[in-house]
Formats: sequence, structure tokens, C-alpha cells
Amino acid sequence: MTLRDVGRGGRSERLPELRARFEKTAMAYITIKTKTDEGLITLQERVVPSDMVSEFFCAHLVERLRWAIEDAHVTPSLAELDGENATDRPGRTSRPRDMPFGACPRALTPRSAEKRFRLSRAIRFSPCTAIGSFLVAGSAPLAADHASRLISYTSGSPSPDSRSNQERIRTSSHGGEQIGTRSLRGMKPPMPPSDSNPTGKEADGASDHRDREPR
Amino acid sequence: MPQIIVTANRGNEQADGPVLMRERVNIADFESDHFAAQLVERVGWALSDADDVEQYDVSPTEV
Repeated sequence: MTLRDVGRGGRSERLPELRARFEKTAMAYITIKTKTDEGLITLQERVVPSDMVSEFFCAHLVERLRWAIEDAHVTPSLAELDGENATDRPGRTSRPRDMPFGACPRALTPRSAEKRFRLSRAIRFSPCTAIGSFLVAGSAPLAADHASRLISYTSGSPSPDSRSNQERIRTSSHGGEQIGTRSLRGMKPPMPPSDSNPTGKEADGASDHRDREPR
Repeated sequence: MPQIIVTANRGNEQADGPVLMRERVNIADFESDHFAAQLVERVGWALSDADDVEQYDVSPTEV
């Protein structure tokens, strides 16, 4: 039977035969639905069992199934596709209804921008950052001293450690700890040992010169 | 979780065909080649079952 026979005479007699042939060649369906209640279909494919013999076909079928399941994961439900419910999703920022298109919900005024810039600078040069860098360098006494000075500066009260810078330096140098003092403002470098200069005149003069330096 | 459904085709009754396989699959399962091979095997079994069902349903009309 050919297609020419369908349109010719005796069509009503041949229709059951055509239907039977169509049903005989009908194939099974592979359908992939989403997880939502609506059951949106991301893949519907008619497959003949004999196609499964081919390894090439099976590999490509698995690939198509994977794509369809991946699409089913990301496909939103009909309720989410609705415009009214879309703004109610958690974590989604919705634009106010009275706000015109193109307007930023949180536009920065010059004053707020300046405040934000100050805040970023304060965070960037925070005392905690300085203390942390000292602790990383391995000089814990210097970090503690810096912290106490910062606390006294912020609270307005004198530092609990009221010793002068020179006493602190002497203590640290006599204690045998080599502390880098470049990062602290107003602190003097450690004095050279007295054995290298037996007279001690230059050392005293140098110390006097350092004492006269403006801080 | 998405699901794979294998249904038999009954000509014009595509949507109401008998379900031969219904399996929930996660996308992370496809990372395993073993799972993919087993899934293809299960789908193949379901397709052959669907083919048998179609043959069984069609044969009375032919008679």
C-alpha cells in the first residue's frame, strides 16, 4: 500500500488498515517532567527499542536526558513565572511600584557617598588591622602596647602603661627582643650597645638630638 | 526532583498511555558513568515493555 492509495476510492475502507499500521509502528515515549506540580515537560522523545542496540545512540540519549534533567532543575514553576508572585520570592529585590523605570532604588546622595567613603577608609586603616599585622610579625608586646595606646586615644584616658618611650625601648632592648619600631609613630629606634662607644658622648648627644626632634 | 517517564504510545492517546517506568533522577547522578549505563539499561527494558504493551493492544483491533 502506498500513499497514492489513501486519496483514491475506497478511502473509508482503508482507514482502519492505515490506523492499524500506524498503531503498529507507534513508539514508546520518554518524557522528563519538572519537579513542580504542573509537570512541565522538558523532553519528550519517541524511541524504538531497536535503537537501544546502538551504543552511539545510547550515549547520545544519556546526554539528552542529562540536558533535560538539568533544564528541569532550573525551570521555574508557573507560579514563579507569574509576575505577581515573582516579586514575593525570597531573596529577590523588587522595584517599588511607584518608582519609574530606570531609577535606582538606593541612589547615593553626595552626603551618603561621602559617609560611605569615610567608612571604607576607616575599615581599611582600622586599628585592628595594625594590631593584626604586628601579631603576624611575631612581636606581641609591641602589639599590646599599640592596642593600649589606641584604647587610651579613643577613650580619652591616659594609657595604663605610663612609661615613656625611652623606657619602653630600653626595656625591650635589655630584654633581648628585637622589635621593629618603624611602624609606630613617636617611638625611637633602639639605642646601640654601650660597648661600641666607650666614651658615650656621641650617644648622649645623639639621644639629646633625638629628644629635640618634633614628634 | 525531575522524573523520567516512559509511556507506551497508543496512537492518538499519547498522554493517557500506560506508564512503564517512572523514576526520579537528580542531575548529580549523571556524574557517574555506572549510573548512566544502568539508567540506559532500565530505559531499554521499559521501552521493550512498552513495545510489548503496544503489540498487545494493537493485536485485538487487527483481528
